[in-house]
Amino acid sequence: MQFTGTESKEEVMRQLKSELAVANAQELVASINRHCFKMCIPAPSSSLSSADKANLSRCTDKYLAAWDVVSREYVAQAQKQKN
Amino acid sequence: MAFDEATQRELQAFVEQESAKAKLQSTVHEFTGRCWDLCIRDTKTNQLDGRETACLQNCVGRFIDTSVQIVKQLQTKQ
Repeated sequence: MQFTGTESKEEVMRQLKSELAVANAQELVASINRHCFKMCIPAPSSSLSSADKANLSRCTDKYLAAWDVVSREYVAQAQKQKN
Repeated sequence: MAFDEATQRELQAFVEQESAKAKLQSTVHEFTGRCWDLCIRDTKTNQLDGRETACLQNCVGRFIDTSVQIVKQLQTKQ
């Protein structure tokens, strides 16, 4: 992270938030890529077929749904552990 | 940096709070990958069915239980 020393407090906060959001998005994309490649392209051929593309699209939606379920469940479990 | 002491304290608290959020997100990424491998067999539709959803929830819950159980067991050995 590069700071010149003249940023306002708000600017520093905004920049930190935005860099963490980018890192989170990159990790999500990398995970989807890894898991959906494994699930949808078991035998890579010379190009992606339209069936492959449709399958990758369904897999991406489903992975995001799984992320959401896991996130909610993890937060719920963490709350339970605290009490 | 030309921040006064109060601002530095405020930024410190902000960084800690954002770090905790990032750590939570990173754990969710790890669990999603692990539990996806266990629970999802196909992508015939773009939605999770009830069985898959329950499997993901159980996977998260039992993984947490496992880590609690291991810590308990190690504590008895001290």
